[in-house]
Amino acid sequence: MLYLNQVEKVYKNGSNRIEALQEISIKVSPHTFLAVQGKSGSGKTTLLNILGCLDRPESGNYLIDGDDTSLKSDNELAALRNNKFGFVFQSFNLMPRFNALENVIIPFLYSPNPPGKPKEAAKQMLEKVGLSDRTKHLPGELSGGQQQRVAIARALVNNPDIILADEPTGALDNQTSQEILDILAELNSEGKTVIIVTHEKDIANQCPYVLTLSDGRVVDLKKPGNDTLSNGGVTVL
Amino acid sequence: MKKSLLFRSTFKHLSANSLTTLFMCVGIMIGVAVLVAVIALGRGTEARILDRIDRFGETDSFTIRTVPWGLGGGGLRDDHGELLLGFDHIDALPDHIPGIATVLPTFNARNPVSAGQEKLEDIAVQGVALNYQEVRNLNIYSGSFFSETDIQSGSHSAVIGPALANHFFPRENPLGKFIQVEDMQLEVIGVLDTRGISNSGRNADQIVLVPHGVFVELFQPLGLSTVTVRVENPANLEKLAAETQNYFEEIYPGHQIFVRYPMATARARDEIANTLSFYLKIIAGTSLLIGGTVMMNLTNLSISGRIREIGLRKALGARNKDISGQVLAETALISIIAGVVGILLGYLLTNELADRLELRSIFSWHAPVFGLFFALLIGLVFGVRPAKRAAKLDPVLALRGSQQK
Repeated sequence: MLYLNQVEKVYKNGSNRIEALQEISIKVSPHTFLAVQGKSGSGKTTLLNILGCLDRPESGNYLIDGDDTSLKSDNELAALRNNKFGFVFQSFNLMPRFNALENVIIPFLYSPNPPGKPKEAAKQMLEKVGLSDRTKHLPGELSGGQQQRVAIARALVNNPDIILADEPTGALDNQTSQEILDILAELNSEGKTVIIVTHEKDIANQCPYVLTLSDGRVVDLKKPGNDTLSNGGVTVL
Repeated sequence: MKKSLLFRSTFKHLSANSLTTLFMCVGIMIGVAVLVAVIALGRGTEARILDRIDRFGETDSFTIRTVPWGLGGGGLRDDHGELLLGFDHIDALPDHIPGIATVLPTFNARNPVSAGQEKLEDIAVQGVALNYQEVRNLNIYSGSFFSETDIQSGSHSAVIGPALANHFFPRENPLGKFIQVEDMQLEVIGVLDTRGISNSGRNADQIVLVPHGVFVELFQPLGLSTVTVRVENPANLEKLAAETQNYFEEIYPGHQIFVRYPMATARARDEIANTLSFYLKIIAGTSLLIGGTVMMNLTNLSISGRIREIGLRKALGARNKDISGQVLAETALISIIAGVVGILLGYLLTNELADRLELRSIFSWHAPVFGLFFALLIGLVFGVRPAKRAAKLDPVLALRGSQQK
């Protein structure tokens, strides 16, 4: 369970105050598939960064499974990023000199208990995203969709509970976007919480839950018809 | 597993950015190469200079006399009222004072010397014991020095200074000719190299050396007024000279014993050795400092170009110390590689310089060990700042490729 309580985030730029998030209070249950949408500057990415412990709220609390993250040290947050969350980015963020397999292995570098055979584990993940024949390819030798699948494999390799994807289809054509979304949907059906940030309506509309932000505030939450709290879900408080 | 991953990741990054890596290496390489060359050439030059000083100035021996210098030369009989040091006391000296290597009795007389019709008054006649030449560092110009048998059997032979050779035997070979001391005929078997004017202002080339047995036969000394003492370690020269002086003054109470040692050369020796190594350290230190600074700047630059990568690593769970550890691993790896190459370059440089400048070089374990040690030290010390900077980057900003808020 992810629980944001009265979370605010302010960016200061000289004398300018940019209120990126204001009074955000939401709960996200396990196994949820949530899209966060809104215009550019609405605070979606800031929300995702806070959810992923890349950033800390200015005020308010963020609890992960009842644990208050504001009490955690930077190292503890790094450990959470390593094994609780998997990140997927718009621009893939692969290491250009490392082949697909090596890119997927990187999270093991920072894991307290990496698997005995990291290469095997990484290969399995690439297989899962349909890239078992591309393990030795460098990112530059892969298409955009393939690169994003490598990034998803990297996000999965430490078996996190939650996948956080910031505009995962933003750099892809429609067909490839659909393929990536299908992979994310399948991961959700396997039990992972998936939260994506998108500004594309047709992508958001395929997600069961859609949270709409505007000027740092929640303005809308779309729920599926069969929403029950026991079966995962999102609540705006 | 993690260490090998870290190493491979480090190596990959360095090889991918080979030009930056090369420039990082160059600073350290030059520093270490200079260090190696400086140590080897420095030690060679120092050894040669000290060698010369030692040969020239006899820094390892001092002389004891019962009369002050300048007041007559070494009496042999007490008919001048001079104190003579007993042979038994002289021989016992090394047993009484540790650190004394050998005692060289100086059988010294001044006597007329003649050859045929020619006669010279007041010529130094010296008796030669075993290893005399070694102590005095004398060189033979022609002929040969006394053999051990000559000295032990007391053969009637002489080695003469070049001034005497020229005077007695102008335009002919003095070897095999005879000179006369008192009523004894001595065959000339060798001529010394010229030494010019001695410390006491006498012509050092007007000298006749004879085996000490011959000397005893000629002059029947009861004791000696002059003794040369060689010490094991030149650094203890002053101390041992003073101890020897006390030793004889205790044996002969009421008499003053005079001592002379090449203080000036002994001090110059230390001074030159210290000055040389001081400058060598400055040069090597400066070059390594430059190398380190170059590396620090390039590492900073390389981090600025890898902000997004650092952001990504943080998003994937890297702690601050993982990031700084990676930067330090990179600078350390660069340093070691550069250090090894620098050592090889240093050897080449040394050989080339030694050839061209006709210097001597001494290679020892010091150069590679110090070279690697300092390279690694520089890499780590100068890597700390960039490493800290990289570790402190904010992950959100870094992912965007920006360093500051």
